Amino acid sequence: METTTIIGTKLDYGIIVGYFVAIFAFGAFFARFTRSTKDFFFGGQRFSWWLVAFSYVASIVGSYSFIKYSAAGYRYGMSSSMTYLNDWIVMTILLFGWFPIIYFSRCVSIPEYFQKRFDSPTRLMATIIIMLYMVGYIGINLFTMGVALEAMLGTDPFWSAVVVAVVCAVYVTAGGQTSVIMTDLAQGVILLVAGLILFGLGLHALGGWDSFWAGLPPAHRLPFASFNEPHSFHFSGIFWQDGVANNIALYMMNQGFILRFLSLKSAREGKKAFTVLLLVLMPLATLAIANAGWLGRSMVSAGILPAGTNADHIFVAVADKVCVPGLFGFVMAALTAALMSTVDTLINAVSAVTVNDIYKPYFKRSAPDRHYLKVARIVSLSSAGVGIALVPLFASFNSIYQAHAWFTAAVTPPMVVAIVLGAFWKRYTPRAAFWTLAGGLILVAASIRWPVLISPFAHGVDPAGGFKFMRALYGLAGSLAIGVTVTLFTRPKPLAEIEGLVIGTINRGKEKYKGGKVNETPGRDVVGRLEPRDGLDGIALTEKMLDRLAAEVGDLVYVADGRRWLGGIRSLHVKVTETHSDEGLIYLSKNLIDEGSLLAGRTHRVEKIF
Amino acid sequence: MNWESFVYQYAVGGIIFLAGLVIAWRSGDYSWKNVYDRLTTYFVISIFAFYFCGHLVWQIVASGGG
Repeated sequence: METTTIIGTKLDYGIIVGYFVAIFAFGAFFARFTRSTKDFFFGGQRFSWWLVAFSYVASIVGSYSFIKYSAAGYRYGMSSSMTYLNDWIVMTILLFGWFPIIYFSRCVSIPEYFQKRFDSPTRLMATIIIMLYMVGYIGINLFTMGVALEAMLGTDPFWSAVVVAVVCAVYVTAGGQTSVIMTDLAQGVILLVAGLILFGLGLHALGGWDSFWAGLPPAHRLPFASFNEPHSFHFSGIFWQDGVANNIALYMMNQGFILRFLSLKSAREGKKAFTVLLLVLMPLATLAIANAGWLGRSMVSAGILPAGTNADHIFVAVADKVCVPGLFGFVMAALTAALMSTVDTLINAVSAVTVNDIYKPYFKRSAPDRHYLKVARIVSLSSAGVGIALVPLFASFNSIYQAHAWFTAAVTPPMVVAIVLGAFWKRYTPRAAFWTLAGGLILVAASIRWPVLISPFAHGVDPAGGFKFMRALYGLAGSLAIGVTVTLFTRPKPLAEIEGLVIGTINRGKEKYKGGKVNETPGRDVVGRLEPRDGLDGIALTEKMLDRLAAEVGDLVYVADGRRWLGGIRSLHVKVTETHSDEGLIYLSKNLIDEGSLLAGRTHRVEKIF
Repeated sequence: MNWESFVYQYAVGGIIFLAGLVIAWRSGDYSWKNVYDRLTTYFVISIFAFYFCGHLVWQIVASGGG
């Protein structure tokens, strides 16, 4: 069945248009909380774990996810879930190494980390690779959205991409990271709910779980693909390309995810967010994005869908088959949500890298913050334009899956190795980092010209496919060999210059972040009514409150509006500077109250950071 | 059926997982006396166990139901 004609009803399309308008208004509303570049890029370092966890999942689930994984699920079965259920592999590297390092070093971008950890040439090389990665990702997402709309409406993929890009760019430009996080929260919930509703309706249409399961060929029921065949979808390739290279790149190199992590109120909140993401949200997201393909295969067995159904259109075909009018529009809005929530993150990230790593160091070193905020907004609009320009390039690949795998396996390995060695090996030298990036890219480029170079790493995969997946292992191994070899013959940076930037020095990084000795004695939160008081540099609390917090004067605390559901949108990090004796009251200066968008006279909660 | 992929995932993936944990604990940045460090360690081991057990059950059910 070809679904290139218009499907759905006027109600469905009304819901999709209404969704666009609602998200636009939602993002624009939160723009009022953006007053500086700190707010624009980091959202003010204020958010709770649950808000960021949902926001993470919305950004991970790109528009290509619904199309790509439904198609893979239809062709190969439930092993299409592999990609979403292997993030645990890199979890210890992230939670014990990279996240604390990046959070406490307060690097505003990954290239800035490279500047501090290594040197300027390495920073420049990292900037080039990261920009390639992120702008390419914007292009892929816009292209796949165009493909989805083509399946629904028969519209030109390029012009569909233009419309979506304009909506995203406008609200990111207005609101920055705060708008991104708040709209992504809404979109994350919508896409999970829509995907799960689709699964429930599909099971109902098939007559229940037993019928669904019986309709799947035996090989389609397994959680893992065949080890090394076919060359277009095999376990060993996906393990290295996605499980290792892409996961590390996504969480450690993708500026969008780093900014999201830095927007949290504390590093501990990041651990909570990641735990819930892996234990709850990723399994749900897997089901949400891939189930249409599994249902489609079972529906073909049951005769509900014709055998010739196009795999790339299976998501739309199944949704159209099982949804009532209106609900189809809701599911399609979820598809749109997946795209927008990924693209908005990337647009904000490209803006951060351009301003902090290109504009500031090479064009205008010192200017008022207002000037950089204006530049960030112009770059946000421009990056959407560049993403649109790349749509025809990705359209030239045979499939979205191939375009995505080729892109990530080619661009990420050198950066992945440089970041991991930089974070985990004190001896790793600036020159070695530079040559890991440059040499790694040369090796990858050579393998594109001569795929035979990948053969020793191929795990028996048929070379006919050009080793698109196994290029990741080849790139990782080659970059690692360069990094280790050059390190052994060059001089490392003095340890004093990399404190807080490499494992083994994280506690020193915490002290630098706080500006004093760290106090990690567990305490309990306190609440009190916030009142303004002039002349305060920090927060004033009662002795009783400090006892309960297990805090002292000089400790860093987080003060937030007492309404937890706000997720930290009204909050502030501040040091305890003095004590007072007015029970139940919390004092802050008027300036600090304004800075955190706090509301004097309301109940606020205080939590010790350290 | 396809146990090779399952074993590879948890053997090679497990080595990467364990390497991160061991290097972190040997670095001196983490201490068993710190309640937050202990909790993080429990969390990551629980997540590993969750995925291992989940995939194991799924693999057995899918293989047996053929």
